[in-house]
Amino acid sequence: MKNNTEMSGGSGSFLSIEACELLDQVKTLKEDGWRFCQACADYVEDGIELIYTFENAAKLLSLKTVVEEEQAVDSITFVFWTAFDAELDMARDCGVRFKHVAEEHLRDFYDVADISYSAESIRSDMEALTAHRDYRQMMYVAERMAGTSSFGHSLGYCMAVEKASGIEVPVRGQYLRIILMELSRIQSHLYWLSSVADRIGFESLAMGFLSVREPILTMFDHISGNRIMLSLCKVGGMKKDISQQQLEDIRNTLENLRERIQALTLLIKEDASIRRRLEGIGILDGKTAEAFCRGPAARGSAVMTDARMDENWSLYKTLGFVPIIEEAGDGLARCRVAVEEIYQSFTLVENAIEKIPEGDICTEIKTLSAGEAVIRLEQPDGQAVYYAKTADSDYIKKFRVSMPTDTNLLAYVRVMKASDPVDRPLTSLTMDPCRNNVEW
Amino acid sequence: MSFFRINGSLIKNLLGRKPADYEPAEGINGIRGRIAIDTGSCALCGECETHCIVGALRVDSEEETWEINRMQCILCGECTEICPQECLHMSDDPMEPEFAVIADVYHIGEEVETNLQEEEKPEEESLDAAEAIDEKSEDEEAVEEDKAADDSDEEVEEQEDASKETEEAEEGDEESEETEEEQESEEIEEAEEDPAQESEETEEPGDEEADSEDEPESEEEKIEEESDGEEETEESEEPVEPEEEEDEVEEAEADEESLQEAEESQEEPEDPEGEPESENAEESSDEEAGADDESDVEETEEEEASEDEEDISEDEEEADEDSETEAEDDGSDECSEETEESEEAEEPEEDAESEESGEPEVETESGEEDASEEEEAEAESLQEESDDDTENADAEAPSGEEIKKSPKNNPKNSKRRRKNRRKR
Repeated sequence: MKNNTEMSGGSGSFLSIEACELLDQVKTLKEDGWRFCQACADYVEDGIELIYTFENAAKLLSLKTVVEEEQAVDSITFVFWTAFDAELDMARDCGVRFKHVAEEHLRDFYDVADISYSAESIRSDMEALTAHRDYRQMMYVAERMAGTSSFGHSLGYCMAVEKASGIEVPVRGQYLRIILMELSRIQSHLYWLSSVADRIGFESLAMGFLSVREPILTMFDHISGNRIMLSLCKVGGMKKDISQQQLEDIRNTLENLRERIQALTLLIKEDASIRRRLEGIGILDGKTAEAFCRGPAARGSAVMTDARMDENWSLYKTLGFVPIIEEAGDGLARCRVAVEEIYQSFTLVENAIEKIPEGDICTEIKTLSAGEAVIRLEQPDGQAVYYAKTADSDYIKKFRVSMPTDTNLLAYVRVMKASDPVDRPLTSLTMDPCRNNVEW
Repeated sequence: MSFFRINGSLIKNLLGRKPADYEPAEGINGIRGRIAIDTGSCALCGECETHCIVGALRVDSEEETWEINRMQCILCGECTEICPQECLHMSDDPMEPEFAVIADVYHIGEEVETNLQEEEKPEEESLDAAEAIDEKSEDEEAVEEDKAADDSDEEVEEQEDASKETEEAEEGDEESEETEEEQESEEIEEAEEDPAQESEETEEPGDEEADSEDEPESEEEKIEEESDGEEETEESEEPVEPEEEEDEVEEAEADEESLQEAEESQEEPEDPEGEPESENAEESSDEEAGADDESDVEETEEEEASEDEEDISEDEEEADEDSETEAEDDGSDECSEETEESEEAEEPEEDAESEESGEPEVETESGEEDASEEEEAEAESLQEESDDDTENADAEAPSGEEIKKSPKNNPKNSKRRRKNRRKR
């Protein structure tokens, strides 16, 4: 399998270990500063294969181990409590049995009197479709796992399969993907801010955000024929090109939008009434954020984490990307992160349009090659991790998505527990959960 | 002060500046439209069917048809890329929201328009309200071949104007043709929820009321009558002749998904999901059930579905049901029996199949029937053979007869709808 031999090579290498070594390796990784990213299980000939992925600022590293069915595996929750959710998934998907689960932390879930949480989601059923849909069709399935972040899912799926199969995407295709990803981030953040404003009661601000979001969706409509489910990615590149004229239109639209968005976001940042509602609610301290969440929620608590700093996303460095950090850790800080990210995405898109080269947008592929890969991607609501295992056929063996809300779940629950019941709706929104991913 | 930052825009808005632009949205280039096929190039290879992500396509190399379920199609365009003959392309014609299933069937190669005139005669004698509908639906099915706009127009006219003779005459041939198509579309619709079903159901209550015919002994007959009645009521305020009804029934039952959608769906915002499920369960038990509105509705749907699946003689799973339905048919009145029997004879397998395939198909068909009557629905999605067009043209000549009557306006319909819903 590709990527298997690299230990310290590119981001996303795989290392096979024995089941008994698992806990020791994980502890070593933790000492080295790695953080837990995702874990999944899959049936193989010898039994069940467990894949644990860890991350640091720029790299991903995966440990693989094969256990027999009914064999009890050491739970790593004592080392990384965030693995609890992933282990629940593994137990449910493949019947893996874990021993020594750090049960005292279960109080996080079961002690909350007025919040109930269910780890079920539609995600696993959609992932199971890999048996019935070939790799081209699975893109559409992956795309439909979420709403406003649908482009990110299609992109993550394609990148994971490409990496697993050793397919290179032409440079123009990469640029197009980044342009669309950042536009998708802009519209998702605008929607998020609109829902926060609406929850505060500031309806005209909410409508203002939505009306500012409309030109972006219209641009999507012109580019791909759809407003949200773009269906523009495919394994190997992009399905449709964006013409120079359309790129110019995008640039002009963003220019015109900048001023309108500034008027609205100024309110979020500085208006006294909004500040009174958002300031000081849902405080997420840096330590919890570092351990338990990613994405804007973590960056609002001064944690330097962004999937776009990963090595796979080298193009972002060329475009001048820097993560946006806020210190306060409350709801207002997270909204400020969203606001600044909107402006940053504007800049990234404009830079990409300037620098985009001519060329192919897609590589031709006959069929996939066997391999596996893990990709992390900065979705608007957090960090999503995509794991794909391919075979020498049109059907991929396994595809697993770790949604941003899954990643942030424990931080979310802690924040909600600690907050005043009156503030909970707004707190929940500032953490930007996505109901497609986890049922509440 | 930050508090006053918003005052600027507040005052601006107060003083008459409209913050929102109330302009109609401009047209979008490259909008995703329906998948269109160049029937001349199609080789019936089935690649598109294999690669369709949602299973909206169906290629029947025996019958030489290519069918697309419009509502299942997600307009992704994969089939247009995959087709080796490059006969598929995405048109600029957008899909409107519909409440029933639309399936368009295209005949590849030579059109099969045979002996429509000959078969009409035997059918005419046993015209019944139910038959009318069946005929109509059959006619519509049979007509599906070309995308000619005139075809769709003609069909629209057909559906609306239930010309007895032409419709009746077409029954024979059309039914067989339609059944095939229906089967195809039904099969495709199996997994789909059918808002059309609901529309059917709603129509059926209306049919019952509108029909002046005797209560059919068999449930199927009753259902057919109901559907016939509804169609007729909807189509025209004039007294509905039995022949017309029959035509309507046959036509409607057979294939008018698109037609039904318009009427039915608009009239009854029923939950499509609930209906297919409930209908599935009910269909299996309804064939032998008493004359419940629901059961009637369901049976009608089944019948309709069965009509579509008539040609699917290969399915033997529901052979028992077929015999049951046939038995029921035998017991009905002469007029209704004849009509229904002829319909049922075609349907026996259909019923079985419809149950198997799922009620969504049946429902859709019934929904189709209803929708067929509406011009708008018909015009949009109908693609009919030229033969039927001629016939339809004749049938539609007395266009004044058919005035679409919204089931919503019929209080009894709504009551039954609610009643049916609750039962589910």
